[in-house]
Amino acid sequence: MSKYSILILFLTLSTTVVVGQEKFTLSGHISDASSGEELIGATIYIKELASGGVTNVYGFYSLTIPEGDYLIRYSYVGYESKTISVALRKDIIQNMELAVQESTLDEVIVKAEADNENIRSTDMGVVKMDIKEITKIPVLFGEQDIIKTLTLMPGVSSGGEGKGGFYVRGGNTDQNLILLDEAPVYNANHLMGFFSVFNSDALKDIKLYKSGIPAQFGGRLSSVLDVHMKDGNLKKYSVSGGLGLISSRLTVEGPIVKDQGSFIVSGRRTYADLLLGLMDPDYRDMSLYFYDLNAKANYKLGDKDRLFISGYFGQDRLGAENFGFNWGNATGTIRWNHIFHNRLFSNTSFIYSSYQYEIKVNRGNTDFSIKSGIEDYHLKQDYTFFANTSNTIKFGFDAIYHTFKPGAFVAADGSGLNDLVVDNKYAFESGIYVANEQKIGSRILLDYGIRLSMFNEVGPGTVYAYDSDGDIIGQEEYGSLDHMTTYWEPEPRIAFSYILNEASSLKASFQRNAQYIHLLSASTSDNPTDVWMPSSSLIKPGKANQYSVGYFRNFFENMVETSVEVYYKDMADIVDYKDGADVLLNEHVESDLVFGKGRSYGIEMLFKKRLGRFTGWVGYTISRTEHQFDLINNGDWLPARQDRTHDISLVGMYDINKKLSVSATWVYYTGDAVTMPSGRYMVDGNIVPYYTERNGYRMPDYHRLDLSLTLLGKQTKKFQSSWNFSIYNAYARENAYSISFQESETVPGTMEAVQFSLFSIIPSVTWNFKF
Amino acid sequence: MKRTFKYITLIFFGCLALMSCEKVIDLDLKTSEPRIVIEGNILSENGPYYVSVSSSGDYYTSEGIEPLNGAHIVITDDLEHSDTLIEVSNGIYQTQSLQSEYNRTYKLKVNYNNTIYEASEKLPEKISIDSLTVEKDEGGGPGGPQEGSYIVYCSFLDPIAQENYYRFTVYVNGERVNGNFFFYNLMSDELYNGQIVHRTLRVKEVKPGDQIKVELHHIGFNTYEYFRSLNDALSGGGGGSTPYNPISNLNNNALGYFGAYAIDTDSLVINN
Repeated sequence: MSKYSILILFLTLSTTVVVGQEKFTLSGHISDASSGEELIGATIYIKELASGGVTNVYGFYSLTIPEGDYLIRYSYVGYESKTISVALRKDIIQNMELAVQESTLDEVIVKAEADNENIRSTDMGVVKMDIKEITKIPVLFGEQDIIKTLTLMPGVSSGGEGKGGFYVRGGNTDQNLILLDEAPVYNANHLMGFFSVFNSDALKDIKLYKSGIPAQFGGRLSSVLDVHMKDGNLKKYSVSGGLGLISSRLTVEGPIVKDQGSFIVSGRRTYADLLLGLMDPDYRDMSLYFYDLNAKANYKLGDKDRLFISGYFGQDRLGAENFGFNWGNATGTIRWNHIFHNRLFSNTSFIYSSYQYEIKVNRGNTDFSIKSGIEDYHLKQDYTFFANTSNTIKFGFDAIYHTFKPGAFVAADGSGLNDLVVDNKYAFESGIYVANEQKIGSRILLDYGIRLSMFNEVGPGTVYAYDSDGDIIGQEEYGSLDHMTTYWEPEPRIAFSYILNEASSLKASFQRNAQYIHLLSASTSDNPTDVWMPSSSLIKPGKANQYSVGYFRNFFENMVETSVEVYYKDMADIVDYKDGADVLLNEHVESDLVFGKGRSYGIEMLFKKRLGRFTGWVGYTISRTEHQFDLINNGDWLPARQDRTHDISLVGMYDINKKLSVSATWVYYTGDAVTMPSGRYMVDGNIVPYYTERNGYRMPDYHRLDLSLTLLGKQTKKFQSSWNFSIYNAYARENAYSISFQESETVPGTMEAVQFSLFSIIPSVTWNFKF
Repeated sequence: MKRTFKYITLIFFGCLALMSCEKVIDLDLKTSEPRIVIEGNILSENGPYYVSVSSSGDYYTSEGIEPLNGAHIVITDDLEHSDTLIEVSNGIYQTQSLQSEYNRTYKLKVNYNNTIYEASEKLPEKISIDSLTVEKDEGGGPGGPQEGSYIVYCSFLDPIAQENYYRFTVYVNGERVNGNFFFYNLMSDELYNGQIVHRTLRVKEVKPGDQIKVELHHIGFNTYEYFRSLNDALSGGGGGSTPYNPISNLNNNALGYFGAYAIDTDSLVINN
């Protein structure tokens, strides 16, 4: 630990050489001129110093530079840049509003300027999604989805049709930290993963870190998906929405006090079940839908303080006559931005997050319910110190109080059933960090830091000891807040970028991550009934080291971006199951687990055309992900389920004219590694499959083409509308959802393989509006 | 509990079934070294009891069981009474004198080609069925109530003293029918300990006058674990959990199990 702090101190001081000239601070917020939304990552450039900075996630920037006269250029992708002259004789607060580039299509092609931020930043292994881009990509049932779009980027792989989740660089789906306004979302799937919880109408900024995860984030091994909601229009009221075949959306936003405070409320509801009921009367009594609601408000308490309150609530409901099953997330965040002396930016967040599912069965005399979930209270304090134009120091701490509710079975009185409650588990997860972003000369950028994380499982609770057969051989009781288990881990992070020239750079990064909570899944796909478990005396925290290097090269004045990244990741203390483990309502699930290690390596290639009539990208990932458990497959390395040798995405968008645009995506990936029988035998008159190894087979390769056409209606200042027509799985590929085996009807006594596919071709239409 | 989830999954995919498709495909599977399969049971009824010894084969084979001859098999109880079995037909071995008793633990020892395979299981006490009742199934779910669907309630008192495991086998006019969601209808008393249990058993395509026979098997833990995991194996390993070989109480990598069960039987006739 001390080694790293000394290093940080040294590097910081080495460039903070005192110059005998007085320095002042130029600071402020940069926002969108029409809505007042703060712009994240907008660039401030000082011509005279050939240096500058960028805005943070709250749109704030701060530059401390010598006294003098400067030309300052403010710019942001897709916005008209502005240059102002500043006579810096004292500290100045300079807020700036930038306007969206309003121009005809042809002008865009000629005039649009592309920056080379991808070359200059230390960001590698980072995927940024432009909300506008997402709206053009064809999707299932016309419902935009950021997670589906992210899986079109190299290194990010879909969990599979109807399975939910996503894999980043070979990590499991539970190794992604998914944050919505800083609150963790524990289950980001709706309707078994056909949709995600993110309603893109309410979102402002999306960033996925595959590597180079900043030190302020911790707790997951593979990635951080950092999603920020819109703040709401500070200038005027606006309503937007969409009507689709199976879902509709509505968003209302506007000022509370003009330019002082604003709000946004966005809702979404699907109604596939109603449609189903019309198609087949057998399903009329069934319900199957989800809804979600995003709400946010903010208020400026002067130039130095701003308050944000945001929340998300979503539920999936599945019901039939005598049973109901619902699950969903609820999150809430209260944030307070404060600026000290124009140079020290502070954000304090209080965060609540919960995920819960409930199953109710009403069957006359045997009513019962099952409930399970996780609940977090989280305090987070982050500081950013804008030391000078070469150093930006971030530091802070956070602490989470987790309550794990593994499961409670509660039966009605007189049902003849006993209740079965698995005790709640409690834990504190905390971290402190310090990091510095440093420029050395004009060519080298460094981002280095360390996070020290700690996990304390606390009482009340019982610790069991098990023998190798999983039988209990001892137990110890702990009282409320008694320390049961403590783990801590230093997590160094470093990212390095060497700018070769204006159009190319070389980058490298290393990161170490620890993960203290684990998702136990009853099946090979993400399910609402999966259970989060804390690390304990038996379940050690997972750890991962990731090394990556990349070469970034732009062509045609940054119109075309290309990159090649190579990574290697090793993982320790990852969790899997013994054969036949039962996750549900199992007090002793720990005795059903096995622990092992993993490794993943790969090469990711991206070719992207950013501007012009035709835009799009090709992403290609070649990778390998393997796990090793002493008790599985004789301790040999085995391919992880998500081991996708080849993963290809093609995305193309073409603007035919100002009103009409078309787009297409094509995806291809190697089938998942799965377990299938290699023999059979007879028991009690049944043909029983005989398995010789885990994950020894492959599902058929997956590929699919989607098409979409967007037609803009009349666009006036007051009202805009568009029609979106899309076709999912355009060439009706029968992709395998599962393969099972059954006795042949034609040749009794022999078995045959049966492939089950979810979707054939699915057309859909959505009407979007905004006024 | 797993049954509930199976049900939920069925409903969900029932909805999707409108759009989905299922087809038989050609899928190459690897071949495997043959492994020994042993299946033996001790019942509460009078002997003889049987043990079968066979071999596994390739998955797509159309051959039936490949019996293994010449095994030397001994069953011993915890009072050291032992009985050497004789091969009565191809791969089927039979006890000569053993008579089972409740609460005895039996040990099976099979010597085949100089490899010894062993397992043991306790025969629990018989639990008596208090009553069998039947009513028409008016239940919902996709498809709604079906003509000829009945619910049979099998009522019995679960002993409070220990963990108990049960298997229910239903016969319609003497023919065994499968469980609802899983092939074998199993129950542990985890949620029912010490209670009067009214187990719901569903039968379909039944008409008035048909005879329904229910066997309540009180089974040992190893037998329960084997059939619970056999249910998973027989459900085909669709999108669910990673498939695996059923959890056997036999050692030395033998497939199959050595089980024990105490049986009580009751029956009724469907009225109009």
